[in-house]
Amino acid sequence: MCFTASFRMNSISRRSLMLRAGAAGLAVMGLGAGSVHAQEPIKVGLLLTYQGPTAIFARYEDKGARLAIELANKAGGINGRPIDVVGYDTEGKPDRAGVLFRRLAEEDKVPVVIGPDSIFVVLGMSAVPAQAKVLAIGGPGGYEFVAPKDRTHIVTGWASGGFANALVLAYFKDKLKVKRIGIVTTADTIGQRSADEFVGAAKLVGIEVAKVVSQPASDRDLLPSLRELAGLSPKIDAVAVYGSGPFGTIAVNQTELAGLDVPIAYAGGNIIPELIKDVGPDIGKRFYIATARAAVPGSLPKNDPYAQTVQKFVADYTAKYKEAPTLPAAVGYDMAATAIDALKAVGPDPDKLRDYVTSKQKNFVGAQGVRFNRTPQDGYGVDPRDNVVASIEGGKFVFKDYLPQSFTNLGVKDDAFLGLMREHKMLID
Amino acid sequence: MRTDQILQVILTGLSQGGIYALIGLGFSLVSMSTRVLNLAQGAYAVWGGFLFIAMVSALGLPPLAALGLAIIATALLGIVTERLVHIRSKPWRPISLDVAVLSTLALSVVFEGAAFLVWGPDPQRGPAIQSGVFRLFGAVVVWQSVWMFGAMIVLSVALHLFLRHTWMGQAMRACAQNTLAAHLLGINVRRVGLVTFGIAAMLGATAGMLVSPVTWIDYQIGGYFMLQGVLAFLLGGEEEVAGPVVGGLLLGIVENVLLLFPGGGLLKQVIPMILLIAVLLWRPQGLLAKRAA
Repeated sequence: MCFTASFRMNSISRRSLMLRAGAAGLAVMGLGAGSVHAQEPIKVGLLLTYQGPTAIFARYEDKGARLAIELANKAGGINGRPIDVVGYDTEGKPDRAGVLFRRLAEEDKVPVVIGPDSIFVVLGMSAVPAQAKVLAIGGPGGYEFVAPKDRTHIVTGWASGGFANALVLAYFKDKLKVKRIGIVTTADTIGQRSADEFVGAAKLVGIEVAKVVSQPASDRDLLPSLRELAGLSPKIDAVAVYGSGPFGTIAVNQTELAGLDVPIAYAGGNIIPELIKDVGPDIGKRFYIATARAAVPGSLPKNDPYAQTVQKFVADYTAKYKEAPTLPAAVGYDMAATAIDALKAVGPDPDKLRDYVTSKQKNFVGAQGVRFNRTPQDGYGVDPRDNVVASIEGGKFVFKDYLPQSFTNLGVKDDAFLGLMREHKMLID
Repeated sequence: MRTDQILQVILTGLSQGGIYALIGLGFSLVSMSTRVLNLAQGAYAVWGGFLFIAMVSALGLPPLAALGLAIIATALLGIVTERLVHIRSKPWRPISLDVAVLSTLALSVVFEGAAFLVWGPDPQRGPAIQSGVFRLFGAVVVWQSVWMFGAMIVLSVALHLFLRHTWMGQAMRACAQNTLAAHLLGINVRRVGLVTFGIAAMLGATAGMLVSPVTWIDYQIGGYFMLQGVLAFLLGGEEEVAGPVVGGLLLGIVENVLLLFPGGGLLKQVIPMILLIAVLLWRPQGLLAKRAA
């Protein structure tokens, strides 16, 4: 869409501007000494996609990111300097995102950009951050699709992307005793790569892939593909679905109509309540996704090592927005928190920030319930096995099990797993 | 390849083709009587779908009442399109077709933007006329698809009768042949244009409402509807009703039969365009229409 002009600032940044103006006034009167807002702010870019099919994620990511920044400012900012957000909307257009990224780097002089979020946007502008020499802490769940040469200045804050989703097949093999699956995916580049990730994960854990079928992402009747899988002989005992938005939900729901009353391994963006509300109740129970702990805060075991982190995020988010957070909100929080932690460590120097986030920021605990350890070879910086398995009950994701246990039970060797990660460009040399 | 599998893709193709045909009929009707290719046709489906959903879910209206009101409201959108496109034209001084087509393209963007402002960016799902499925020789048929196909047949027959047996229908056909001559014969060309755009919008709205439980509706889906409708119209040809119906059904079946072959999902997006190019090159009047003398 092109009818909405780009925007800068919002109520928060205007509020901080007013606070700064007030603080400046107090400082002049000798009353504001020591105030965070008396000092020159540090600007950070916020470049998300507020329009188009992925806008729903950006709205949550935006809230999460702003929460992290607000909390940081309340706690004293970056060595006394408040953080100021310069925000733009990519409108889902990669070329526009590229132009706005340059504007953030060259005109707004931000040392780091939170975003872009959508993989469709990132793939179309992935060369820009390296050219502008400013780090993008993005949120694409398909970060592995970004060309290795462009990853020097892009990392992702989305801890459980498509590759991690596909690993739910370890649970299928270990707990559900699945031996043979069919895969339904979108007929586009990302859909084909996601199918490849399912195929790779299946091979790793010893599941046979009987067939991969695809339809355009715009299709809304997936019965032809699902009926094809239902008619396979010997029968498949699970189906893997990749697809976000209506495609994903319709594919999942139509398994029942197609006579595929089997467990569903899901990969894609349907990880927020709005996008799973149309999943049928009986289907939700046989729907499984490998995802980060923040997707299941209500049912996460209390003795989980990340339970406190996740619950603190939930409490802060709920207090500020009067609504329950979603996984993308935690992703947005982690994107911003990564930048804040780096700014505290090395200050607003773009090169030092990049170096810190991609090499030196170790064991950084995120609100998603993960530990980030990024390296120049790994822009995710998380172990994709370290997730939970969730199903849908009552319109919400609920905890079912821990995924690492299944890898242990299956005896999957680390070397084999790292080999799979390299094969799918999760790790680069 | 199993029989039920082949039947499945044909039945799916027929229901999708029915929707393409309904939208194609809107293109045909407007093009027939005003020569304008109305690219806002897809936006009528979006508005029809959204209005129907809003009236049922937000206002709590009975589906039948919501259906009628949404169709009428979308017809007004069609009338607005006609007025804006022809605001400076006269029967003896028609607007340039290039300008008219570009104006409808601009209006489709405006309508999409307005839908975004009113209903937001998230896809919404409408209520089905009849939920559930039944089996036909092993193939699974969704009841809503039957309604989609049935509505297309009923509306096509009604439109055919309207064009053949009513004064307004004949006036539309007269305008199609020669607008100036129709004007000189006392036909109110502007009123005919208004009615034509209104009916086209109603057809689009019906398509949007019928398809909303299946495809869901979002503010950007109008472009997809528009493209499929144009394809149906151009493939079948400007043969009043039969052209877009045959074009739409053919398009739906071809798209889905391709799924039976390896890589069919990718081919589904390419082959219809190749088919269109072939038709435009070798039979530019469409498959059914007679070649102009």
